[in-house]
Amino acid sequence: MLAPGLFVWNDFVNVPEDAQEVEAIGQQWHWTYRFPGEDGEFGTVDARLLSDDNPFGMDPDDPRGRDDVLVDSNIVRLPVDKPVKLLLRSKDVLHNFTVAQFRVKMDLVPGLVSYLWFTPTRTGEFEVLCEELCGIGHHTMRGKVEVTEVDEFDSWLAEQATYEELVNTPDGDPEAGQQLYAVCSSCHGAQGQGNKNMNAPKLAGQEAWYMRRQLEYYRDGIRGAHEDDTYGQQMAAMVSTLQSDKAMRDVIAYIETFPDEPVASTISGNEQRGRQIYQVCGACHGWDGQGIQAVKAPRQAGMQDWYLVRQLENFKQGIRGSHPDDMYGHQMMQMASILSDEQAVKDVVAYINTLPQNGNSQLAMKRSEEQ
Amino acid sequence: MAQTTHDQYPLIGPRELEEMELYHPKTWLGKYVFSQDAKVIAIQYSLTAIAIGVVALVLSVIMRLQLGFPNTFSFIDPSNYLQAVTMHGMIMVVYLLTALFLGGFGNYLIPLMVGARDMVFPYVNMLSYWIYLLAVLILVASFFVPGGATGAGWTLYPPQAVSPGTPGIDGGIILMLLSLCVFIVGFTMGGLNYVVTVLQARTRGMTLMRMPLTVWGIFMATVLALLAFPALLVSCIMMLLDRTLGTSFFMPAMQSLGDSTSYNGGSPILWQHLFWFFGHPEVYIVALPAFGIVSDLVATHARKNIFGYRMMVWAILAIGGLSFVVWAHHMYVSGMNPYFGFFFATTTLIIAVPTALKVYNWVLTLWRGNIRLNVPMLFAIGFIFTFINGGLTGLFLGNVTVDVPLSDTYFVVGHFHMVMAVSPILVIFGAIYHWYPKITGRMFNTALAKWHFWITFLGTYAIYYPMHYLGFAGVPRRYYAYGDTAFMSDSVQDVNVAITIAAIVVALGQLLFFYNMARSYFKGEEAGPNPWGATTLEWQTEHTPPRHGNFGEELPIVYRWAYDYGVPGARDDFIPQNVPPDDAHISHDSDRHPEIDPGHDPAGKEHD
Repeated sequence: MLAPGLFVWNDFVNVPEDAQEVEAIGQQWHWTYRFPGEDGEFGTVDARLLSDDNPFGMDPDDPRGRDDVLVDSNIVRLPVDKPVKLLLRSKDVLHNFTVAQFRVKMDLVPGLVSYLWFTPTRTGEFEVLCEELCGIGHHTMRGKVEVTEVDEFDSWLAEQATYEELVNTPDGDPEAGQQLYAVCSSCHGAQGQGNKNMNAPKLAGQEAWYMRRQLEYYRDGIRGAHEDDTYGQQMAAMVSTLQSDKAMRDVIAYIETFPDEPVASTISGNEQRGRQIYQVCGACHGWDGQGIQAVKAPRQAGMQDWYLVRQLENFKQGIRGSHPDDMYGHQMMQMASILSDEQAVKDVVAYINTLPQNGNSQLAMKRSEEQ
Repeated sequence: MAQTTHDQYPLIGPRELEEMELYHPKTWLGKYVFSQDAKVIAIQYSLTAIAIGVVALVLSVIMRLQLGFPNTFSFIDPSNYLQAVTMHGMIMVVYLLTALFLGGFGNYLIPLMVGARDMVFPYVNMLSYWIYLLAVLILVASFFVPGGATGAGWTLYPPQAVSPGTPGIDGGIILMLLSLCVFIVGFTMGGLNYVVTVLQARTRGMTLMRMPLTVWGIFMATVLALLAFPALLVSCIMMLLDRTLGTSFFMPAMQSLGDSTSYNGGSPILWQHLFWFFGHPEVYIVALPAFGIVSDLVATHARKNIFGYRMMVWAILAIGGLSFVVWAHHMYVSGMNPYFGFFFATTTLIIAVPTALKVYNWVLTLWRGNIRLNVPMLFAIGFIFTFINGGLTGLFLGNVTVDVPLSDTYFVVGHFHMVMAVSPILVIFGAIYHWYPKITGRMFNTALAKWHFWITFLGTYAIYYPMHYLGFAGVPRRYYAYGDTAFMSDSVQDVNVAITIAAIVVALGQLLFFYNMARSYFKGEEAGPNPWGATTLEWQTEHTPPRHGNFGEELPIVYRWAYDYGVPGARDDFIPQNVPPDDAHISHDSDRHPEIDPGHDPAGKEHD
C-alpha cells in the first residue's frame, strides 16, 4: 500500500521539464497571477516592494520582469493538455491553492515559493479554493481557472498587460475627462455629489481604482446585467460613452478633482449592533470604512447611506455579484449574507454613518464628542 | 489454557522504602480545596476539565448550527464562527482530553493501581491543579477581552494568528498563548509526579510487568507529554514575542491588508514543525491512556486475561517512540520540502503496526471471553469499533499521495474526530462508569447509562461518517459558508443539515450522563468495594471510596499480574493482585507443575 503511493508521490514532486511556469499569488482574500512573458523568465519580486502602485512587488530594476504578464484578477486561463508548474507565493499569510478537480493542492507560504504541477485534461471552468485558514474572508477567497484550447489561451494571454505596459500607462487627463463627464453630471451631479432622486450615488471621494473596475464591469456586462437591477441597467447603457481605456482614465481623473463634501444621513438604525456586525466588514473595508485598495474593498465612509443599503440588498438577493465573472461581487454576496434581515442592513449602515468622513475630520471629532 | 498465572514466582522485593508520611489536613478547606490527596486533585482536575469541555461542546453546536442552517442565525458571523472553531479544538484537545486523562485518571488511578499511598510529591501535585485552573481561567478570559478569543484555528498558524484579518489578534491570541504556557508549567508539575510515582513508589511485588495496562498507558503518555510540551512552550513564547515585541521568529517580510509590516526573515513553517512536533505526540498523549484503560475494561468485563500482555506493553512503548518521528504528516501540503513526504509517509504507516497489534489483542481478548455487557464494556467495545474506523481512514491520510486531495477537507475532520475525539471520549465515559462505584461508593443508574451509550455511540457515527463523504466531495474545512460552489452537489447541504441534527441530539444526550452522575451520587445504590470483580489494587482498598492514604495500615503486597480472570481451579473467577498464591484456592489435585508452587513469601509477611 505504501510503495505505490510513494511512486505516485515521486511523480508529484518531480515536475516535467516542459511544464509552463505560472505564478499564482495569494493574498487576503484574492488571487492574482503572473506569467513569465516572452523571455520565459520571471523578474525578481520582493515583499518589501509591495504597495498599491506595485501590487505584485516587482523589482523595477530587473530587466527580466519588464515583459512579465501581470493578471490582476481572480480569473486565470490555462491551455488544455499542457503541463503547468504553478509557483505559489503569498503576500501576507498562509493560503492554499486547491482546485478540487485537479486533485492537487499546496500551501502558499509568505517568505518562500512552493509549487505544484498538473496537466489539465479537459476544457472548462474550475473553481480555485483557498484551503488553509487565512482569516475572516477565508471562505470567500475564490478564484477560477478557465482551461481552454491553446489558441484561445494564447489570444487571451496576448491581451493581458505586461509590467512594462502598466508602468508606462499615462495618467488620466482631467480636462479630457471634463468633456466626457458632461453626460454623467445629469444624474451624478456636476461635482459628483450624487442625487438620490436620480438614484445616482456620490462619486466624489470614491477611490479611482474602484470606479475603474465598476466602469469596466458595466461595459463588459458583468454589472448591470441582472434583470432586476433596473438602475444598474441604466448605468450600463450610459457607459457606452466610455468605451476606451483612455476615456475611463480621463473621466476618473476628472472625478478625482471634485471636492469630497460630507453627506447627510438618511438611514437610522442601531449603531451598537451595527458596530458589532462591522467587526467583519472592517477587515476588508478598513476599520474606518476608508476602503483598502490592496484588499480590493471600496470606501464606504462618507458615501451615501441610501446607496449602501441598496447595494447591500442587491448583494443579498444576488442582483449584484452573481455574474460568474464578478469574483469580487461574489465575495461581497457571500459576506452580505451575514446580514440576516433588513434591520441588520440598516444597523450596519447606521454605524458606517458614524465613521469619520474623509476630508472632514472636524465632523468626525464632533460625532465622537457627542458619543 | 495450560498456563494459569502469568508469573510463576511471586517477585516480592524487600521493603526498601520507609512508609510514606502524609500530611493529613484538618480543615475542610485543606481536605477538599487545597488538598494534597491525589484523589481529590483528580476529581478537581476532572470537574474543571469537564466544565470547560461543556463550553467546547456548546461551541461545536454553534458551528454546526451555522453549517447546517447558514444565514439563519444572526449571532454567528464569520468572525465568531472562526473563534468557535479555534476554541472548540484547543479546549477539547488540551484542556479537556489531556487534562482529564493525565490530571484526572492519572491522579486517581496511578497511586491506587501501583499500591502507593499518594503521589510522591503531593504538594507539587496540588500546585499542578491550581496552575491548570489558572490556565483555564486565562483561556476563558480571552472570550471577554476586546476583539474576543482568537480565531486562528486551533493550530494557531502564524502569520495569520497574529495578523489583522483574523479575529482576536489583540487580546485573544496573547491570552491563548499565555494560557498554553501556564498549562504546560502546571502539567509538567503533575507529569513529573506521575512518572516518578510509577517508577519509584510501586508497592512490593508490583513489578513493571505486573502493572495494569492503564498505568502503562498513562505513564507512557506522560513521558510523551513531558518531551513534547516543551516544543509547544518555546513556540508559544516565540509567538508571544513576535506579537508583543515585534520579533520575527515566525514572521517573514509581508504585507498585511495593504500595510507593509516591519517583520522580516521569519519562517511560518518553523512554527508548524514545532507545533506538530508537539501536536502529533499529543494524539498519543490522548490515545495511550485510552488504550491502557480500554485494555483493563475489556479484560475485566470479559472475565479473561488480556491477550498478549507483554506485546501490549511493548506496543505502547513502540507507539510512544514512533510518535516523535511522524509529525510532518500533518504538513504534506504545507509548502515544506516535498521530499519529506517519502520519509513521513513511511514512518506513519509503520506506526500503524503496533497500533493494529493492540486492536487485534483487544479483539482476541474478547474472543471466547465471558463477555458481560456492562456499561463500561459497551463503551469499550464502542471504542474498538470507532478506533478501527478512525485508524483505517488514517491509512488514507498517512499515505502522502492520497492525502493531497483529502487534506483540509471534511475527510480530515471526520478522521481525527473518530480517532482522537470520539474514541477517547468513549473510553472516558467507559472509565467514568467503571470507576464511579469506587470513586463515590455508589452505583449509577444502568438504564440511563445504556441510553447514554447508544445515543453517544450511534449519534457520533451519524455525525462523523457523513463527513468522510463530504471530504471525498471536496468540501473544505474551516469554511463559514459554502455559497454556491459549482463542484459541490446539493446533497452537501442536506448532509450538513443531517449532521447538525445528529450533533444536537448527541449534545443533549450528554445531559443524561450529567443527570445520572449527579443523581447517583446522592441516591445511587451502595456499590460495595468491588462490584465488577476486578483484580487491580484500587478495588481491594479497605474503604470505598478510598480514604487519604488509599490503603489500610499496611500497603498491599502484589503476587501476580493484573489479569488473573477465569483461572481454572481458582475459588472465584478472578484473583486480585494482592491475594497470596495459597489463598487463591487453586485446587491442589490438578496436574499443575510443581514449580508453580509459590513457596513462601520472601518478605516473611503473612497476608490475610
